[in-house]
Amino acid sequence: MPTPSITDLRGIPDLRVLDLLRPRWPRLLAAIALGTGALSSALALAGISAWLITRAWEMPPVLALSVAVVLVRLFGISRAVLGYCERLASHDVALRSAGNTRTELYRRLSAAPPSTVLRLSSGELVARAGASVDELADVLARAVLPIAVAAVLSVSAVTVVGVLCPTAGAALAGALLIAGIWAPWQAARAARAAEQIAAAHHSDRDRAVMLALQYGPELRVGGKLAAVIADADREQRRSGAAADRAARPAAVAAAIPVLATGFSTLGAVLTAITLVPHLSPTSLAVLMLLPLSSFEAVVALPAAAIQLTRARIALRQLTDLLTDAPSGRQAPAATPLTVRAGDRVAVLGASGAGKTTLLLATAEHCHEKGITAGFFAEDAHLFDTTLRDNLLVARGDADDDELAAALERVGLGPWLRSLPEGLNTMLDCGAAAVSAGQRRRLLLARALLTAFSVVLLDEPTEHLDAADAHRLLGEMLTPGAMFAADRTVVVATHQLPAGINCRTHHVNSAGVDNGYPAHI
Amino acid sequence: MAQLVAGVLTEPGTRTPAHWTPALVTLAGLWALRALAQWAQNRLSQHGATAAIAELGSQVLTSVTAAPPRRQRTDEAAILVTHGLDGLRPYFTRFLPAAVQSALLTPAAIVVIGCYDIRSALIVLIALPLIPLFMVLIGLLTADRSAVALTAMDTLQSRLLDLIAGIPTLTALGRAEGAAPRIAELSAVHRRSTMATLRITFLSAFVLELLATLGVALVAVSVGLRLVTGSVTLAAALTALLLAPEVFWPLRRVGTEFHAAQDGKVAFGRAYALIESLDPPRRGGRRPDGFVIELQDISIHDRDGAAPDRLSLRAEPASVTVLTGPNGTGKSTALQAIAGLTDVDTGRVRIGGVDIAELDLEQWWTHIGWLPQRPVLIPGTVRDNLNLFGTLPDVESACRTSGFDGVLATLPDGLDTELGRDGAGLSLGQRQRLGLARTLGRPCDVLLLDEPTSHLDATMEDRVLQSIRDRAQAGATVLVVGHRDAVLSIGDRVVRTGDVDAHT
Repeated sequence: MPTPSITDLRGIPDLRVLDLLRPRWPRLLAAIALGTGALSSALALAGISAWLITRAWEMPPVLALSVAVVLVRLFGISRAVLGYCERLASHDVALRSAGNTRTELYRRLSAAPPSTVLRLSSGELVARAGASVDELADVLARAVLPIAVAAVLSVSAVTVVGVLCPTAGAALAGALLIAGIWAPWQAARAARAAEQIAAAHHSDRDRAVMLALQYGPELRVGGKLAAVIADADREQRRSGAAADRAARPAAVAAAIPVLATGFSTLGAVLTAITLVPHLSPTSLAVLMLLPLSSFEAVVALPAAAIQLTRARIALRQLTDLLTDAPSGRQAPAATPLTVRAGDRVAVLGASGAGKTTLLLATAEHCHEKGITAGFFAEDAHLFDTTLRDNLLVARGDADDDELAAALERVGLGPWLRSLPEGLNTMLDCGAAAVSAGQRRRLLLARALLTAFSVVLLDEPTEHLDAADAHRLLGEMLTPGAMFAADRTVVVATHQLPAGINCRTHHVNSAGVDNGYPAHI
Repeated sequence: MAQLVAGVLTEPGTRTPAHWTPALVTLAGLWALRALAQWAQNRLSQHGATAAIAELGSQVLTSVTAAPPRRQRTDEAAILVTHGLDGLRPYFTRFLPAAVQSALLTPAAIVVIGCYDIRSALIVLIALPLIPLFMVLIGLLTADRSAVALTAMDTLQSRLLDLIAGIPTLTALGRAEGAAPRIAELSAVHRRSTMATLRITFLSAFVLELLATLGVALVAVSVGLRLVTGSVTLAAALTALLLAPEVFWPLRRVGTEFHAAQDGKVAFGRAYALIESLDPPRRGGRRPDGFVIELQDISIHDRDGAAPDRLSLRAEPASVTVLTGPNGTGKSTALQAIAGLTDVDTGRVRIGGVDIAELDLEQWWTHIGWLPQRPVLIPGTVRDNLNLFGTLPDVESACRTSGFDGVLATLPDGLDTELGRDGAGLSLGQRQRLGLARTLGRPCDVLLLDEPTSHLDATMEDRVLQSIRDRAQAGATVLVVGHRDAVLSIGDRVVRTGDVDAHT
């Protein structure tokens, strides 16, 4: 199957994100402007307070202070107001992007070969798809935004201090660079390596956890459950240790801004003492006190850098999820069956002989010839929704009477009538809500509802009791009994009960199996 | 710092490095200490979080798997252990330290300000209680909405996963395209409801920031105006100005980590719900006297009624008992009851004359070979899987009697072939034969076989059924669940569950 939508994911790593996130730029810019405004207010508050107090100490007429008094109060308020707006704007951008990513992920997965999705156990899907989308969407609010805000603020702080005294400005600029670039870069570089280890451990851990949860009863009776849980615990602790290692540079990165603030403050005080005797006391106070407040935006940067790294890893995991096609996947090797309208064919053969492969090849062949053909897998999915919606996936415009009739045909009539909520019954957790036999029948009801002219059914009566299996097979293979006479029905089964007369096709080639490679 | 700045400003004559060396050294030392403390706090909270998460994960896994199979909330537990518990990490690494700091630092900063300038301390003291007051008010207002938003998030996530799992099915039905707008729609609904919640939730952060910055601004204005009249010294004024933010700073951190606290609380709640909802395992100490299995009128209720419903049977050693009946009438559940995994609601289960409630279950399990419909496969080689529940005495004959030898011949490395996770690389039928080889290959006194031949063709089925018969003749108590005539024909006794005509 060609998968062009996947190959376009290979490119420069940082730009691929945009394909998935599709952020709204005006909104993002607005959020950045608001964030900058909020932190500028804090910076202005600190600078003007310092000026106000020093000026007041010079005991001028009170009127000379009135502008500063008003400004201090204004910035005291604007910081909170702008901060509130910024949070709303950035979360809106992030949520929109998360939605876009989910849709896009689904769109690409549905274009990928089914084997890509089939091979994933549910626990892995949870870990990969859910977490990765969230991590990726967080990149806007938690990385792009703080980085932009910090850049704008640092430049303004350095400018103000630099105008008062170039030396102190240079010291502040140096400290900001260390705290704002070197620390996050170090943190991200180390975190990247360690997070990769953690990601690897997580999948080992999830595998062990899923083994214990899915097969708990059998493992327990077999006396292996304790060992499997201990294994999961060991993987959990190992992944925890890896996470701890990942956090080590983050701790260093958290301490560096504190050191840098101290350094630039001490530097400013030293310059004030030694270099600038000519400056007024108000300017001196601003010079010495402003560096203390200049680091608020920069402190958030190590976390932002780590978020960037996480997003990159999440993106790679999503890409892997999309490109994880098994190596050397074989195209269906079987020669397709030739079928005519109204045919009834039973495909017989030992398990593993290649019945599924033959059905898939036939479906492919029909598509090529422009005939609508539906392949109904042995383990098709039941959705975690109402009984009605589970049937409507087959044909969206079917009404309740048609659905009830289809259920009646497959022998689920009494069951349907016993359900207090009828077609509105929720199938909680999909397939887990019904027994194996009920599930088979539901899938069969779906096949009945579709409009495909060729219906290919893989083991439709597995897990049914003998009498029912016999009866259903008979009806499926008798023209007009279950399926309309002009539709073509091909059924793969390993046992055809006596008394059913129809065309049969035997599959005997050993080694071909289900369309999947013998080992992965 | 304040003394230093005030000194530099007020006494221009002291502006030499030598004069201020002790103060500068002290300041440098304090900054270094602060950085070190920051680092240490980060490391320690990280380690603590890791240990706590691992411990909780293990407990959830142990409790959930100890429950009766029908009541195991495996999906919930899977999400929690693989994903949800990680929500505890920010709680431990960020919220807890912030909470402790605000409890210690805030009062300390107020006391120090009070020592220098009592009026500034009063301003701060008035602003401070307003913060928790507003937070509680807003918290009460948003509690319901937050819970709804969390549920919506979960629903969205599970819908998305459900749709992804269903992609092959939807593709086969030609309807995969139709679900993409559905996801976009779900996401939009979720975004709107979340934003509505956030507008109120962020009010708490807003109030916190407003009071914090306004508090600092008021302190600055207050001391500034009093400086004009000379009623306060510059050093005291600067101390108040520099320390005022430190009063609010820890509280603001608590505020920003509020989500971490919420996530942590939710994760804790879910973990404890899973751990507590499960009864402690029973402990019986008796051993069965022989291996006659008796079910007397057992019923096990679930939401669709009783399945099995008043089932009685007696399976004796050296014989094959076949349990048959329509789907959904509790055949598999009956096997679980015999294994002691599921308690019966009415009736009795007796093994060798001993009630199952009094049995030492772990000892009883060593006698059982149980083949469920979907036998477990572990990641590893075929050989690892065959020997999973104990080394098979004769691998070759086990494979022959179960028909697994035919599968082995097609595998590239025979017994040493690596199987992917969850049995990737084997079809259902091949997997069933592996399970059969593993179960029949061990010398168990009791065999519980759940549809052992459902995926096999007639020839293979005959071979397997013959092996099952042979095991019974060798003295084992054999209980088989099956539908087909071939399976019924090997039974010395055939027991039917439910009303056979219910579905026809």
